Amino acid sequence: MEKSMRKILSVLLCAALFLLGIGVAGTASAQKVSAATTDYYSGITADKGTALLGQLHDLIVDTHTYYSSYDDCKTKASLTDPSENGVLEFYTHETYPNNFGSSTGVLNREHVWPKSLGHWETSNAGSDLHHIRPTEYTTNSARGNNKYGEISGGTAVYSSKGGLAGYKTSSVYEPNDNVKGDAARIVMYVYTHYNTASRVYGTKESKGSGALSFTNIMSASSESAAIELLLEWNELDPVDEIERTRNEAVYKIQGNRNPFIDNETYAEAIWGDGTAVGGGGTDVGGGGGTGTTTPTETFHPITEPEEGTYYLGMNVNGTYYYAQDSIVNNYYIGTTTDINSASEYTLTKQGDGWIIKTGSKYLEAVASGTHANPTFKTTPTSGKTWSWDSENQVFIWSDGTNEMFLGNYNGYTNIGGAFISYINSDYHAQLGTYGTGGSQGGGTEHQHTYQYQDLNDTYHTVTCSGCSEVNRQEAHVYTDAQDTTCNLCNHVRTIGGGTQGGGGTQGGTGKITITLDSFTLTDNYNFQTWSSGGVTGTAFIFGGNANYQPEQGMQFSKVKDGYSYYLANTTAVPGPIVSVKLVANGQYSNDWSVLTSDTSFGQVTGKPTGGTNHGSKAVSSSGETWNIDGDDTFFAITYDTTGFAGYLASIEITYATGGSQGGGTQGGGEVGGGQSEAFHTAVEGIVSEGSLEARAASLNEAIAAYKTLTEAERSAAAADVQKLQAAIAAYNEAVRKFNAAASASEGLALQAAGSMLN
Amino acid sequence: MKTKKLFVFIAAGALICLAGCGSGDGKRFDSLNKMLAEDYTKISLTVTDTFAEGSVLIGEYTITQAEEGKKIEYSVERFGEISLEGSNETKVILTGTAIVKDGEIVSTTGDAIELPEGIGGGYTFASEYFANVKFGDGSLTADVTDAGNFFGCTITCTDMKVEASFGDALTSLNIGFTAADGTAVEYAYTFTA
Repeated sequence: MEKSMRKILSVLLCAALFLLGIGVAGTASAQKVSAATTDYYSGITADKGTALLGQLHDLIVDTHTYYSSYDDCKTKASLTDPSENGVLEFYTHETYPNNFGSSTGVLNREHVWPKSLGHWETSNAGSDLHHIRPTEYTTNSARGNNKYGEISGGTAVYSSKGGLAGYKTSSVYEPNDNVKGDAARIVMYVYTHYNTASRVYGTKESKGSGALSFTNIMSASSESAAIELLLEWNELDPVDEIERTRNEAVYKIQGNRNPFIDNETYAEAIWGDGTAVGGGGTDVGGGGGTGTTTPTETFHPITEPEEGTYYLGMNVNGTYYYAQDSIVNNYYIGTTTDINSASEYTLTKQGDGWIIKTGSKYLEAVASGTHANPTFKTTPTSGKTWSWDSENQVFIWSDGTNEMFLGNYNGYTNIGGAFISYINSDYHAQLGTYGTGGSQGGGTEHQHTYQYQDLNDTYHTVTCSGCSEVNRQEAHVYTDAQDTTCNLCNHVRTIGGGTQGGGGTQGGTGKITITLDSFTLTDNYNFQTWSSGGVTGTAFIFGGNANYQPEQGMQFSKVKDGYSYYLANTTAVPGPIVSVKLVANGQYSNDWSVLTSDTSFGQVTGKPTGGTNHGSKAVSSSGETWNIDGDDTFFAITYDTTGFAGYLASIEITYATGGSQGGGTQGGGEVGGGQSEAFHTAVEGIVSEGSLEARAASLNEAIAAYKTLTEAERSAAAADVQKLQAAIAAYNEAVRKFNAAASASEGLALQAAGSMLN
Repeated sequence: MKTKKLFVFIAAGALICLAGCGSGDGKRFDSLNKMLAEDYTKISLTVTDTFAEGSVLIGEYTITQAEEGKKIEYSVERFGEISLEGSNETKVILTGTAIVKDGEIVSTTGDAIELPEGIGGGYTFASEYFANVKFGDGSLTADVTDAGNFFGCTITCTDMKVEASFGDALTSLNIGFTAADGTAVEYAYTFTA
């Protein structure tokens, strides 16, 4: 549902219910101020603006007598978020058992203001009960550390129970309308409490304070726009009983309250008059040093060039920025101050190409490693111009060896970005105009030109070649059950009736997935051991310390001498490797390479060599896949980016089973050399992590399918049988561990009751 | 599983001493210690282990007086191992009985489980073992800062809390903590005078 429609329906519904006098749980109460909190706010004398903001900051800091621990966020969930037979989940308002962990269907501690967008880990703001909310694992993972904002389109996010939790793009998360106000009031609380005192006009420094801007957490073009959105959400979704009850519960634990829940008029009173924007500090906008530098008008990128005057916009995760001094919210447009979004650029036709000038200088491009930098010439390179690729909406500069791009073009190196070494579809510099109304090139309403890119066996990505508003995943579209090619992205699927190909096609696949949970970790950076799907391996990653957050995923680094920076298997994958997919954790993308071999890469300093190098790619949280030919059963993933740590959420290794890859064994109505489709599917569906109940259910399903096979079919499915046996062994090992822990726990209870037993 | 075996349980671990020792009401704690030493006709114990990955195991024990000593009847959940040919139940219930005399298990019947080697020690209430002590009318809540001395045996845990309700005798005693591996553990004793 379009964002605007969702908002309209929400407002109409609330209005209708109000007129009918129906009291619906979670809807607005006509009362704006809680009478029960009068004493708490008795010292607040200001009624608006910076004075009110400062007094509220001092109050909630002064009265914050108990700083909750991160463990309190779990153990006190039954007090702060009670629900019948469990705990109330934040985004869906579903009820979950009071279990916290890292598997589907259990709860996580959600930082409403993500750690990476703030200045905390799991203490102070990072464990404040007014801030941290219980969130189902799937939903928490989907939100990740995306900013909050409003999305047009996007991908729906569902909890493990199937409840709609919101919508997301690669960088923005939009909660449901009935949670927007909750989120906004939490954001305001965190901003007010944990901001540097001077920035919020307070006199007392909070524990764990630091500079905060609303644009750190809200996807908006400016601080003012972020505030406007928060005020809008505060109004759209007023305070309800869930919030009031929770505020009371946390107050009893911590001693302080969230004033934006107690008094809904505070937000508008403080920020509605525009005087409390930015505070007294100098580092607004994350350290750029030049103040808020985002345009207040909409940027319209070129969709078809015409001679004229334009400006440069930097598209970062769908939001356009401009700045002075070549710095845009910490993303450099170029390494020289010559490039400047405030400068005018003229576009002039020359032959079949285009000349782009700013002042007296000619804009060209120069390749630099994996990306390109802008360069300015007082004398243009003879015979060279920019060409325009209308299909991909991008200017192309060729130096005879490299092609460099200026435009909103996914998947290719883009001009600019000297600060970040990447090949990333989220950062683009493009020429365009600023203003209201329709897009450049005729003033007509922008019509999306959709482009589809194969993502995996189930989905393709959908984007618009002319704007950044569209970025979602959709399922493949086939004409009928026999159609093997997606009508939109040309993905080719395998149908288990043996109709695909005529030789040389893959006869079935298996997959192992490596995550941080696959590891048995030791502290700090070391070679750590992992195990998944019956395959074992090693990786030089961070094993943790007192401050370690497992949500960060597998952490690699190459900053110190003697470090290694790769992951590899030490036992063979059950079949020839078909593909390797890496998924990054966090909002940044880094470069990774994939190597394969017929022998183990072992443990080496630095990274392994030898085998076949399948190339380096930038990997973001949407994932990147390497397709592998050959019969190799050993792989290595190497981290290629220098300067900071890189994080992976998962590594998926797909391998061939049954017939050999490319051997044409499929085509006789059987998959992979005679193996039962049902057994293969069941083995593929084995759950290797999470609750034992879920793991057991998936194993029993595979065992049931195994028992239906004949001896010949079992022989033909040897790889899957081996996989099943390995999964059973791993499961039983976990069973013994948990049973022993329960015995120890119960024994301790009996031991301690000794005096009662004599 | 109907084998008659007695497994030896060895409790080992380092004691983690949580900072801070709160002050308490000495006479009230003495009174609680006397209640612990009383003879009850029945003590029920429920142990709930909630593992970090979400699974839960519950063990239930009932302690009564028997002619030959204290009788412990147990009914405990355990996860079942899986095999390609077996019946594969996710959870099984193990039941049985053990007789305790002078702190020692002298006999067992029923399904074999791991039972402690010798039952000694015992809870001891003392103000120096707790913080944030709150006595109500027939109730106590506190944070346990010295779990080892409170338990009377070594234990590795964090965030231990205790709740007790009582009149002339104990009616319930609830203890919760987080084990070293992240498991949330709850002990719930109820006492029948």
